[in-house]
Amino acid sequence: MIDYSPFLISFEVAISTTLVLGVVGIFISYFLAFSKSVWADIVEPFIMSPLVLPPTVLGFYIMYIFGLQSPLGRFLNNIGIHLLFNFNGLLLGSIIYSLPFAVSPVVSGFRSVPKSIIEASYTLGKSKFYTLLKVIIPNSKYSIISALVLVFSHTIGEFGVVLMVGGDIPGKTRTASIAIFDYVQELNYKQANITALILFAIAMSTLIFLQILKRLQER
Amino acid sequence: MMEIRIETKFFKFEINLSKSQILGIVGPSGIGKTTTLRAIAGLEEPKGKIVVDGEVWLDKNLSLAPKKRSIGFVFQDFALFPNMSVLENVAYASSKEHALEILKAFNIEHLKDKRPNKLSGGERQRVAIARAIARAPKVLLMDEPFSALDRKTKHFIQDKILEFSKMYKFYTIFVAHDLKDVVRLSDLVFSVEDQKLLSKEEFEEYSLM
Repeated sequence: MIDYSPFLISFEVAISTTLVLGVVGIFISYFLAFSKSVWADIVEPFIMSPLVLPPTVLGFYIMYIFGLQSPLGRFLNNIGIHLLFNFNGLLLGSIIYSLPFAVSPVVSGFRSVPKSIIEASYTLGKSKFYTLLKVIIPNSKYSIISALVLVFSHTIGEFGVVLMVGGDIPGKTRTASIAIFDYVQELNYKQANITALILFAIAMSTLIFLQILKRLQER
Repeated sequence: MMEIRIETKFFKFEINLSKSQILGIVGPSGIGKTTTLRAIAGLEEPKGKIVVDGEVWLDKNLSLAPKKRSIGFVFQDFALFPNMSVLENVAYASSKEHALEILKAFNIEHLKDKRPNKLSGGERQRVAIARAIARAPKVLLMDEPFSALDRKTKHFIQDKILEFSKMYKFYTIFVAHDLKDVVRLSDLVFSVEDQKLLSKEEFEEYSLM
């Protein structure tokens, strides 16, 4: 009998993370792609850091910053916001960990929009925000879709950060990738195999979808 | 009245234009002709002063953003929005009804549903000019606007620009390489190389020398 709850939790986290980063990622990408401020150069390495940091390092610092040891964690706790060892923790960890996947393709997409069409929009009396909505986003749609697909699939398979920030609470924070680890610990290879195969199928579908998208973009 | 006193990296540009007057800018490549148009549009920030019909666009303390300057800009690479049809491009800063009228006037109504990537160079150029005029700007700026057009179409488009410039009373400033275009369309000509402002007649004589 398959335990579906880890999949439901994984999907819930992945969909929520994709929705949040779908909006937040656009604005961060816009800032990184077009800002001439030195802040863009300072912020970019921090956003991209999950690509090179071990997930446990990131998980540890998220735990530390939002835990009761830190002033911020104590403040949030006092106003009733608990970000560790619950769904919110999973979501927070996933958002931070998947941020580079949401931002990197979109920054490249935004930067490849010809400067003259952006300027044409300004000279036609439109604001930067209107230009972003009507010109920059539609002309970067393949990059944005790629980013969203990457965020979704990456979040589905995330292990280290969600384990440290969310814990491994069955039915609450045990995601599919954590469940595989637990099944192996219990020597339940059959369940581990079924869960792993489903995650494998999701990952492959994502890559095939991205490949199709790449072909469409090249046309 | 349009008053321009700007200083770019390459030259000083000082001129007063009356309503509906057309100024051609000529000079060798790389001397800053495009930069001048961009400066008037607010896409570059030069030193100087620009006043259009009493409204200050640029002075010591102020530089209006491009969206606040009433301009129509025809870019050298046309800069049409690839995600929009011809009609949507032309209606971007006006209404669909008005855009259709402009397309009809420019004889390109049949292209209205096409995307820019399905158009020839000449068609794109006509759409770019139509889009810039459709918003009825105070100032029309054009960077090499006739480079992709055959002689007959070029004359037709130039006549339309003259017609609209009188109808909407906008100031026109354009850059061109072909001296015949400059003579045909301009009331005044600024030769960047010599830093001289010439009347059409003076320029005809000058260009024959």
